[in-house]
Amino acid sequence: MNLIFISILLVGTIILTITSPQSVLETFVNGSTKAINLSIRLLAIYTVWLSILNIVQSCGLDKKLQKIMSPIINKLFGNVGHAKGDIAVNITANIFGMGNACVPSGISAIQKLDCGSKYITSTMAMLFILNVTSLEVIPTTVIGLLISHGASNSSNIILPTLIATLSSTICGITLTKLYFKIKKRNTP
Amino acid sequence: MSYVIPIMIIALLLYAIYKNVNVYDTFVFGGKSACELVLSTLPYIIAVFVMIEVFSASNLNTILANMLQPLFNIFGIPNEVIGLILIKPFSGSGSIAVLEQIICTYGPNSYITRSACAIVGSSEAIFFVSSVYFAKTKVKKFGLMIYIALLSNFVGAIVACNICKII
Repeated sequence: MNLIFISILLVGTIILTITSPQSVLETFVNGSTKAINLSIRLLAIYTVWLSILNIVQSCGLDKKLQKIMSPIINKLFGNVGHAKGDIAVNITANIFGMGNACVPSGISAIQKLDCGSKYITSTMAMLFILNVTSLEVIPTTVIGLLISHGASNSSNIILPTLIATLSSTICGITLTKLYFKIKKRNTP
Repeated sequence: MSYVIPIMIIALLLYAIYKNVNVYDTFVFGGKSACELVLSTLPYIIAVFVMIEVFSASNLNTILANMLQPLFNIFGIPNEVIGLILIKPFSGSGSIAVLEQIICTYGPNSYITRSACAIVGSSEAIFFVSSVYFAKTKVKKFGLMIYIALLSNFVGAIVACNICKII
């Protein structure tokens, strides 16, 4: 993350300094303003979803969800102990495309998987890759956008999207499994 | 589709009454943890957004798009969606804005629009997830995970562009 951050920031700032030096600081502040605006919106969204998730947990529904998802979680993550409930909620929220509902459960799961190490563990990596390769079955936002622009048959993008997202997810899972297998072999 | 989440919420509230859960207290507690969550992730979100802003204000994204064009063409990805593929790992809302532009320019039923939709649906904002999810942990070394994520999303984009030619 540091390498990518510093390269983009450095190269971008150098280009900006050459093309329009007066806009450098403005660009930085613009970025930060957008981040704060987003955070306020996220606060509203997370409040709603965390409250709902909290009710789910106090009803014991997450335990039931965990039981249903257990075979998949065991296969992908191995033994994850008490993070299992959060992972189950996170995956379900991802599949149903519940906007940002997957973020709070994802963060909570990552925290429970944290062992204080500086390096990412295989279970964290698996949760990360599942979250970034998109598990969404029905792309609600995109369909909404298409309909608002007068698409004649907006649902015909569901199948291509599903195939594309399945390929990215399968590719991600396979590479992650492979990567940690090789890593394990190299460090006895 | 629009009924799914509302019905789930109603069902949940009814189940909570049945289970004798104090809904008010649990709801308030959820709000409290949301405040803590946003506060602890805010610095990371700022860092990612400053990076995105510099990335697009300096035209680095168009420069990169032009450089990568031959590579993308090999895999059957049309030039019109390269900008979208480059912005997607950085920001979900940014890519939705680019997608909207594509829909306006090429029309909602065109091949370009359908490929773009499939690309947006098959990937996620990698840099946002990697900084926010790990904000509360000590994890600093991701190894090859970021690159694996980028590669997987790229594979998704290739499949998206080629499958839209057939379907």
